Amino acid sequence: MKYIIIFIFIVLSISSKGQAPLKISLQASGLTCSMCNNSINKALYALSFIDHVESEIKDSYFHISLKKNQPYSFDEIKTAVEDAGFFVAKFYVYYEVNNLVVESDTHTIVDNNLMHFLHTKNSTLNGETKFQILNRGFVTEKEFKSNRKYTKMACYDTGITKSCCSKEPGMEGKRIFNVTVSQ
Amino acid sequence: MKVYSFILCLLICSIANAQELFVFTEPASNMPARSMAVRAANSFMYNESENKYNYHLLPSVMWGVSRKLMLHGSLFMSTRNQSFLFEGGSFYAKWRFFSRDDIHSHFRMAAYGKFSSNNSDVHQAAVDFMGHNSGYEGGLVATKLKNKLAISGNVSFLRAMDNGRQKFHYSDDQRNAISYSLSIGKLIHPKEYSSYQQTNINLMCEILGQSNLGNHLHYIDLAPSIQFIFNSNLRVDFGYRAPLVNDLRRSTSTGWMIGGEYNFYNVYKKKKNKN
Repeated sequence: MKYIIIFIFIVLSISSKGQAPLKISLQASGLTCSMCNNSINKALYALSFIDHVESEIKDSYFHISLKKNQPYSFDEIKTAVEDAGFFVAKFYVYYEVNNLVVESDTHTIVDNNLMHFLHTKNSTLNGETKFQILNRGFVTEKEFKSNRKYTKMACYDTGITKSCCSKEPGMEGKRIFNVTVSQ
Repeated sequence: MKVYSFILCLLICSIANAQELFVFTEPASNMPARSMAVRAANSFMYNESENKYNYHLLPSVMWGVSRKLMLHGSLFMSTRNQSFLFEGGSFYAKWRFFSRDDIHSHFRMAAYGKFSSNNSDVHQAAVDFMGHNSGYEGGLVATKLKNKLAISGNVSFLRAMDNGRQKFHYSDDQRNAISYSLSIGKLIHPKEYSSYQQTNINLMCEILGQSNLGNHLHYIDLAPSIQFIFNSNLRVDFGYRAPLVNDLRRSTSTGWMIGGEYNFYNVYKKKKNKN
């Protein structure tokens, strides 16, 4: 019964589908020099869906705006940072949402991305909202281990939906992002 | 000069902030995947017995194959035998197998291998794959970066082969050697980053040693250097090395190094996975 409710919840959440992120901000780890920072900057610009990157060299932050009406991928952004020789320590996605109902340890679709909300107050979100992706590789390994306490679902470790997420046909094996609503 | 080098090294060791793009050794980190770089290393080493400077030119091409694997191909040319001659080349591969990264810090380890081919005469007991000997080398390097202070340690096994028709004329057991190094670097400019166009200046100090497993003789060199990075992709190095311990015979042990390296990012696109 629990899984049927989750599935219905996902279907209902499709109302928020189609709103591309306003911005993505990430912090990279493992670097201090501007040459290293530049290699990440160039790697991000090599992604076809990225329009502009603003770098904060001192704090290793990259603020990314996306090209309009183009498919994008959080995973490709993460991989670009890793291919440059570094890792993602923080990954924030800014969405404009309209009556987005979120509940902790449940799944919701936001702009075609299946999201698993963790450590989040049950609420209805409106306006510009900042989400932090908590999947392995999108936070430091220390933070990833620390956040495990917020769920018992297997998708937290794998980033892929399993039977624990939904028993409905077609819902297994999907990419899922563990997220929290950030201040 | 040796005293000044030593004082400079002490100064570098005593202050925080550094980079790990060392002048005489490689760190555990790799260059970005799908990027390439060209490097020209020019060394001017004083040959005491002939009272002249030998000029060695080592042009290299470097390729970041993946985030974990990088390859170098180098050529050797020098004026050691009076005229400027081509002497051989080397191939180097480095595999980064461990990374523990945090904000503004990392600890990384890598394994590397090198094969060198050289056709010049064998003229010293020390094994050198930067333009003197044919042979192979395998080693490990570990690098710690913390708040801009970088420290790197390296140990490798080397085996010299004959230089083509030029025999390795020392005893067979002297073909084997262990090399080791400790490198420390410091960023001295800028104090705070604001753009990719800022010129970076790094001071570095490296201790470079080798012990021959056949004759049990050693050398340990002190190598201070200064490095400039322009536009976050052009690197220019000025280094000096001089022996602290010099039991293991070398034709040259003291001299200067001037190097330049230019990086080309995203030289080709990543292949998309067909799903």
